[in-house]
Amino acid sequence: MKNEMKLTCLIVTVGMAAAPVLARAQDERAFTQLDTTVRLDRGGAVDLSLISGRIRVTGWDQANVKISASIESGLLRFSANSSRVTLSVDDEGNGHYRHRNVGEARFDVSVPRGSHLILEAVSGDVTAKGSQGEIEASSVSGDVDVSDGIRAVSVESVSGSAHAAQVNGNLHAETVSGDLRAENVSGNVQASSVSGDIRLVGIQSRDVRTETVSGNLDYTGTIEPSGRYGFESHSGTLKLNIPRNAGAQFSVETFSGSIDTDFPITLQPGTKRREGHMEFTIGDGRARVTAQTFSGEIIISNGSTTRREDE
Amino acid sequence: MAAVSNAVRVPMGDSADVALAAAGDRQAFERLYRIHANRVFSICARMSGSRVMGEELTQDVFVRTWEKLPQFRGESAFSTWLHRLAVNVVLNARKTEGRRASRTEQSDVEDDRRDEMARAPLHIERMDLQDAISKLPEGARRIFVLHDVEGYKHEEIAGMMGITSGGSKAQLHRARLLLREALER
Amino acid sequence: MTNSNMTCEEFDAALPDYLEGTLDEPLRAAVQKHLSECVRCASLVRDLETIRKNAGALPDLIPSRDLWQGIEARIAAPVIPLAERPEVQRRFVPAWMGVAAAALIVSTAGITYVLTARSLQGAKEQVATLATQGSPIPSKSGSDTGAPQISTEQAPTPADGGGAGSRRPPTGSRMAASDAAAGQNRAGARLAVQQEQSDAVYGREIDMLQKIVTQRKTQLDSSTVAIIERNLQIIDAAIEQSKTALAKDPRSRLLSDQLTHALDKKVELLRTAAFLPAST
Repeated sequence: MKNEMKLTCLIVTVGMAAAPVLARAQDERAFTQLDTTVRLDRGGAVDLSLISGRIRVTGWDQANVKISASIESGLLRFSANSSRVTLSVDDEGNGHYRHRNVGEARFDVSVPRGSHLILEAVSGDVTAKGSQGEIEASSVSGDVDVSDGIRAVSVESVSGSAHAAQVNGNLHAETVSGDLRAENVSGNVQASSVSGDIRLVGIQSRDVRTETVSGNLDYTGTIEPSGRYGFESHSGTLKLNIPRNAGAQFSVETFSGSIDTDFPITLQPGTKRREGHMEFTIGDGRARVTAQTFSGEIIISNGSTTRREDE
Repeated sequence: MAAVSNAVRVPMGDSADVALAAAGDRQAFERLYRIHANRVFSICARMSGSRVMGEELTQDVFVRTWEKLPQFRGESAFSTWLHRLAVNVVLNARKTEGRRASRTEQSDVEDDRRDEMARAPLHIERMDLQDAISKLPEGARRIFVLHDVEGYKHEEIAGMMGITSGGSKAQLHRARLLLREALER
Repeated sequence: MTNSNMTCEEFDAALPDYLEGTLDEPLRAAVQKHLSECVRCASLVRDLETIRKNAGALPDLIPSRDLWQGIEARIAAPVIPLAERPEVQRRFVPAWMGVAAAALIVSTAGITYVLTARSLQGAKEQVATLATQGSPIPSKSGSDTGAPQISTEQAPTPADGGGAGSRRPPTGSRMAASDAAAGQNRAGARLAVQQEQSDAVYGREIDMLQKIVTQRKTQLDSSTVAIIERNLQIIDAAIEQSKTALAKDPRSRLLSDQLTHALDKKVELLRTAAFLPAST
C-alpha cells in the first residue's frame, strides 16, 4: 500500500514502563514484555533470537508481524522497519546485566506468509509453521521444528533434534547428537549428523547427500532421472527405501559392514562385485546412488512407497 | 473538483506519516501527534468533563493509536479513525478502570445534583458553554459531546455506548435542557 | 380535521423529535403552529438550537502541557542509535577469536589450493583431501575446473541489514568435501605423499580450532560441552579406524574417502563449537 517510503530504522529497548535501568537491575524478578504489531513488506525478514525459552512462529494472512514476547528477567531488544523485524535478548552486558541475569524468554510471533525467518536459540526450542518463506532455524541444546518453508530451509541443532516438514525447496539439516528428521521435501537435501539418527521420508529430490559418523540413516524418497544421491556413514546403518521402478546406477561399499539389497542384481559385463563392494544398475540407470560405510550395514529395500508421507 | 473534495482538510503530509508511523517510525508518529493532539484532547476533555482527565486520556489514546496503527487500512481518513479510537478509549476507560472520577456509569438525578453542586464554581454569574458542558452528568455529557460537538449520529452513538437510539436522543435532549438552564443563570 | 391547539406539555414531548427533524408531517405542523403562538416554547426552541449550533462551533481545547513525553515513554524507551550497537557476531566468540577462525579458513584454502594444483599436474585423478571448498549444493560451477573455491562465506549478506549474515559460521566446508570425494583417487605411490600433506593441513586447522574451543568452554553450558566432547571422541575413533585400515590398504578409495569424511566432520564439529552462541 504505502510502502515505497524511505524509512527510519530504530532500535528500541522495551522494559518496564517508566522504570529506570538501575532499578530494573536490582529487581531480578521483574517481567519484561512486548506486545506489538508492525507492518512488514512481503518477503521481509523476521529475526528472532533468545538464549533460553521458546520461539514460536506462525504464518498468517495479514501483512503484519504480531509479537507477544516476554522475558523473566533481562531486556528485550526490538527494532522494526518495513523490511525487517528483529527481536532479541539484550545480553551485551553493560555492567549491570550479564548473561546470568537473562531469564527464560517466550516469543510468540505471527508473520506474513512469505516472510524470511531467522530464528536462533541457545537452550530454547524453535518452532515455525506456515510461514511459506525461507527459514534458518537453529538451537544449541533445544529442538528445532519447522514446516512449510520454501526455497531454502536450514535447521540446525547440536544436542537437540532438528525437524523439517513440507519444504518446497532446498533443505540443509544438521545436528551433532540430536535426531534429524525431514518429511516431504522437494528440493536438494543435505542432512548431516555425527551421532544422531537421520530419518528422511517423502523426499522428492534430484540431489541428496547425507552423512553421519555413528548415527543411522533411514531414507525414503523418489529417485529422479539424473538425480544424485550420496549416503555415507562410518558405523551407522544406512537403510535406503528405493521405489521399485527407479532407474539408477548404484555403487554400494562398506569396509567391514554388510550389504543387503532387495533388488535382483543382474550381473552385467564389467559389473564389479566383490566383498564389501557392489555396483549394479536398475531400471534405466540414469540416476546415481552411492552408499558407503566403514562398518555400518547397508540395506537397500524396494518395498517403499513413492507417495509423500503425511505426518 | 471531485478529486480534491475530501483531501482538502487533511494536511498533505498525513498519509506519509501514517505509513511511516505504522511501520514503527516514532518521529513520524510524533508529527501525527502534533497535528491531532488538540482535537483528541478536546474529545477526551469534553467527554470526561475534566481537563486533567482529558490529558491522561489523550495519552492513552495515542498509545493505543500507536499499537493499532498497523491495522489502519485507509478506508476512512486517518483523523476519522483516530477520533473514533479516541471515543472508544474514553468510553472504555470507565469500564476497565473503575471509578476514575467520582461518578457511576448510569448517573441518576441525585448524582447529577450532587455533582453539579460539587463542581459549581461559587462566583460565576454567567457560565460559558464549555464550562456548562463539563458540569453535565456523565451520560448526558458524553452524548451531548458526541452528538452536538463532534457530530456523530444517534445510531453511531448508540452503537458505541451500547444504548438505544431512543436512549441517546433522550439523553441528548436532557443535556440540552440542562445546559440551557445552566447558561441562563 | 384541524389539530386542536397543542399544549406546552405535548410540545415538550414532541420537541426532541422536532429538533431531530423526525416528526411526521401532521405533528410537525402542530408544533410549528404552537411555536407561533407560545413565547415560552419558542424561546426554548431557539435556545436549544443555539446551544446545538454553538456546540458544533466550539474551538479545540488545548492541553495545559505537552503530552508527548508521557506518550513517548509508554511506546518506547530511549532510542539507541544504530551506530552504537555492535551488530556483528552477537553472543559469539570475542572478535579476535572469530577472526582467527576465519583467517584459518582462508589460509587453509590457500594451502589446499596449492596441494590440488600440484596433484593435478600429470595426474588424472584428484586427491580427495581438500579441507575446504566453496559452498555446497548451490555453486557447483567451481568444481568443474578442479580448483577449489576459497570459502566466500565471510562476506556479509547485503540484504540482512547490517551484520546478521556475519553471525553465522561459514557453511562452506560442510559436506563440501564430498564434492571432492566424488573425484575418486586411484594414484598409487602419490597417495601416501599426498596423504601426509593433507594430514598436515587438517592437523593445523584442527589444532587451531581446538584451541579456540578449549578457550570457549567457559561460555558454553556444561552439557553442550560434554556432548561436543563425546562426539569428538566418536569422530576420533572413526578417524583412527580409517587410518589403521588405510595403512594396510593404501589404495583403497573407500578408506581414503572415509578418512577424509571423518576429518572433515571433525573440522566441522570444531568449527560449530567455535561459533556457538554463548549460553552463560
